[in-house]
Amino acid sequence: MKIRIRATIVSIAVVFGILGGVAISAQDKYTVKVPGGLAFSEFRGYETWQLVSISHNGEVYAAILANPAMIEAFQAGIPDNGKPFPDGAKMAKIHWIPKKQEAYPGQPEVAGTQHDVDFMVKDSKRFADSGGWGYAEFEYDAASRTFRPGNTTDSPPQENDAKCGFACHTIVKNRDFVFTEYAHR
Amino acid sequence: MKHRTALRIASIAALLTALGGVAISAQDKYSLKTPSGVAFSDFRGYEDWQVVSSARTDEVLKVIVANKTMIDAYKAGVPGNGKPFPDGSRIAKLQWKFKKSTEAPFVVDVPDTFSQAFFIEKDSKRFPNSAGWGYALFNYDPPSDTFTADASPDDCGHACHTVVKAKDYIFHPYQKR
Repeated sequence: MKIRIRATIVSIAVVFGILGGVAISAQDKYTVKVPGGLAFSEFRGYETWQLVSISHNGEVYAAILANPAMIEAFQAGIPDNGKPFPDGAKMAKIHWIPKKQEAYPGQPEVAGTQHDVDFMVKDSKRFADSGGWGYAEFEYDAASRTFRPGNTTDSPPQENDAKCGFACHTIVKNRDFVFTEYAHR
Repeated sequence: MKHRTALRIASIAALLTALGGVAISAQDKYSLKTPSGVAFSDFRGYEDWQVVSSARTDEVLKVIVANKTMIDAYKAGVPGNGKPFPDGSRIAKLQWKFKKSTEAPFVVDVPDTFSQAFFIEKDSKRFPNSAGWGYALFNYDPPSDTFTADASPDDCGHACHTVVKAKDYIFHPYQKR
């Protein structure tokens, strides 16, 4: 009887040890930050933001989401009406690696492992030299289940200055630097 | 002076008539029902629902969105934990034809015109013969900006989804982000 109780206590201790280990090793992505740049935590809650649109380029699927300030701006006609997005507008582009689903009707490709998440935020004072937008990109490593800031080894390569974002987005300066249109549904 | 005022009144009247015409001709999609009786209005607000996942075929880009009841269930571990989605769960699959972006700095397909909205709702009393799920399909016609209920009883609906009975008949998992 005593032995059984002791065995139970040991088992419980082992379980707690394992759980504790998991809790400690799981990354809090919201602590990740681009050195000298944007913090993941500036986009807290992006997982639940509304859909702007989707896209696909062979290697990845993208779902483009935006915070309420930005969705409301889209619905008010920005940027087609020539007005800029307001300060506080935030956008997230989540990329997944496609995988084929043979068992589904029509054999579609569906979103598989996450590849990265890209963010942009409008703050005309803070990002005065890049059209009012700040950019950040975080690569996701599925094996370790961790995010890290994008760097020069990634595609596209990027320094911590976030100028990669601004350089690409200048093509759509006439739409306040935002490529994605709100997709009708 | 009188003449100018009369002209202005006439202009305003013409404008109001034109606006009224637009208002009258715009379709209220929420008044539609499928042949099997599932109403578009059961899914009111789907335009704002959260993303579950995305997918594509050679013809369309798709996004799967769900209402709060269903998203909460996903986050609680349904259907992987063996439990079914609760009554009130609603999920929509939105499909767009796609086109190559002419602006992006790389080759990428982006939505062109919207084409279809597939809906599923859980109501175990109302849909006992299809494991609690009701199915609906509405086709969208871009030139007229109108939706119509698909003529088939409920598309492939329950028949197709039986493949994933083990996942409470739902194909798509909630995708990490």
